[in-house]
Amino acid sequence: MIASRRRAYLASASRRRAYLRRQRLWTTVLYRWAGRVLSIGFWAAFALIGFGLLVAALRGEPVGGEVETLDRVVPDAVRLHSQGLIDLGILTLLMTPGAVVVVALVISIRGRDRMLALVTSALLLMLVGSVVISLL
Amino acid sequence: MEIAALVFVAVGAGALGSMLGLGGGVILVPVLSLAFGVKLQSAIAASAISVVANSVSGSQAYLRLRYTNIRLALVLVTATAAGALAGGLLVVSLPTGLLRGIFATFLLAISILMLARRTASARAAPGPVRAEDPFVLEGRYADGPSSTVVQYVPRRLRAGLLGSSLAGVMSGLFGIGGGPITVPLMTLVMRMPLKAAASTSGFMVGLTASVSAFVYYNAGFVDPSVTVPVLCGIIVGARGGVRVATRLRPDILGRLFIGVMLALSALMFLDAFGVL
Repeated sequence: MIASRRRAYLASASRRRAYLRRQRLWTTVLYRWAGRVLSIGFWAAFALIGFGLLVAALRGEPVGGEVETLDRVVPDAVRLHSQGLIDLGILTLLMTPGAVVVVALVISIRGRDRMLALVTSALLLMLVGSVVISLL
Repeated sequence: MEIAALVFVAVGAGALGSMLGLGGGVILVPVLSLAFGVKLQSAIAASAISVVANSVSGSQAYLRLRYTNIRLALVLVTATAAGALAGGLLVVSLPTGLLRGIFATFLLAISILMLARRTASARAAPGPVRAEDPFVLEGRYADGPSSTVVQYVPRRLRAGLLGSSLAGVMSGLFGIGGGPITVPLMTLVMRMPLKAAASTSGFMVGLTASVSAFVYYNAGFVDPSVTVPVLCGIIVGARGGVRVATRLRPDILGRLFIGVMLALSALMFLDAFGVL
């Protein structure tokens, strides 16, 4: 449906060129921001895990056993407990790919890319839905 | 000593995972549970988290190089996520032994097909970009030390979506990630170059694994004493894998992929017949 409408709209060569130019520009923006988000998430996660390991080594705390429950992770990390810091690092890492989808949604809306906005919204719904179901 | 061995294994899994877009979980789960005696639940959880780490680490570099086709990845991963949900529901009602046998045969068939066609990337060699690309899924990157420009438009999007949802179902059923299906799908059906397919698949696998890893975390399956050393190894391996993959010739990468697929197929056969 969207594809056929788009084909009809892009029947004119000048429209097609302008459309492609705009999409390529926004795709470049998407690549740049997706890379940045991955990089920030990656380094933040490993800084937290590294700091947690350092705290554990300095205090002689063991690293192992079970992870904290979700409601205790942030308070324990704020109190600089090694386990809380490590768990927050792991959770930061797990949220990073989802953050890329959020960024893609924002960029697709700003770039008026309906197809990508639709796809990323559906994807985000499924990701959030799966997480919510697992929490129930 | 055991921590050093864990890191060492994870380096290998991370390198292979980032080079071939498989995530590394297919290697880690059996090794952690069989060789290190880690509880299966903890091994699966550690593997899922390391697949995310592998994807996040590798995709940073691949996005910069433009190997990853991010628009296509977002489109296909939507189908994969839907398939994974269906797979998760099916797993309780289907005989998994038989399914594993069917899946192993399927992987074997794909490997033989890829072998027969030599390298899929050679067939998907840069050609003229077709005018019809309504969703602007075209890809373009500089490959190898000589920076040869590779340009392509993924073909047969509908078949790609169908195959991706099948990959999702398999991922939900067996927890192996969709890489063994999505990479051949992108190279053989959608006619993408292998490097673009592997890096795009790596990005997709990270997204789907992040949800299952979160579920494992919430269920309390994550053991930091296993996960943290594995993560350290995975990061080193993934970074190394990216460096190797950018320098490797596509045909060598293709042979490596086929080898891993054949090994995976053999493992699934052994599992299906109750040997493992």
